[in-house]
Amino acid sequence: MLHSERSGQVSIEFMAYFGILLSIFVAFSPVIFNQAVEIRKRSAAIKAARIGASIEKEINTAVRFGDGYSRNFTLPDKISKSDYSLQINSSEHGNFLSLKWNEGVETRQLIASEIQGEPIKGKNLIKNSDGIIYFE
Amino acid sequence: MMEKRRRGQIFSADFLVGVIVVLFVMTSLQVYHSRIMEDIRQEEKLVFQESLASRTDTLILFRGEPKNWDNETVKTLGFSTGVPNELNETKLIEYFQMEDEKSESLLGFYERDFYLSIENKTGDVVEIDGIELKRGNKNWQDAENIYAVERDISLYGTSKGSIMRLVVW
Repeated sequence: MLHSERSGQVSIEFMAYFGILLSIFVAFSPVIFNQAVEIRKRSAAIKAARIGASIEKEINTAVRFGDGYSRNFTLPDKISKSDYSLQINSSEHGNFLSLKWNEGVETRQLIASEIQGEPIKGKNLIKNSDGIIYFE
Repeated sequence: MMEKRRRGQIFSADFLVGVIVVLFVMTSLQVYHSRIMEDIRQEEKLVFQESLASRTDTLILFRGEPKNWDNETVKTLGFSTGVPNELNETKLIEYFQMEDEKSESLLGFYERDFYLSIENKTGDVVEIDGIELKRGNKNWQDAENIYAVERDISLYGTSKGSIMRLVVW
């Protein structure tokens, strides 16, 4: 009889502990979830910025070395498991490189005035011919 | 006696240990989050700083396009005389007299705040033919992120060393 009463007590105590601790966890879980999402987004953004900066550096180097320069370089296929696309847009204020992925866009202004073609995921060849930068 | 024990049991040592464990896990997660966010912020700064270094490399190592550009013909900015880190005074004067929008676009900082100057070793802005070699503003006091690059240069025809200072925020 005494043994049975103790078992009942353990069960109620366990339920009470579990309930209280679960409440604490549930209260914190939206914060933890939002922080995890923030980390994932910022990590993807910084990877995109790295890719954008590497393309910018390749272009600046091609500009500096002048006519006859060529170099192969490779860009990753994914940003944090997400697909992405690259585009160079011209406007009256110059050329802008845009890197788009499912959660954002990384844009940077380029100082090269004349660029033909666009960088792609994977292998790229960059050339400078008479001051014009070509991507092949 | 029995009743008394039961009432007190919910706040037993076991329960306190449980609460402490949960709070410890929560606190650890917060510390982990703060550290990762700080790492990401440092990485962001590093990427931008490297980008600035690459741009200023182009300004001081490249003659520009066309090579003898002026205010009307410039396509790509470069101040070099052809000798690394030696800048052409005529090109500097042309650039520092340019209209704001054009100068921002050529530097790649359209719609961004920046300050570009050529200074002597004592920190005074260099003046050529009455034109101060500085551009932009210095209102970066309230900026969250400030990026600055200083490059050692020389001006053509002078043996004195100077500094190109670029601040972006």
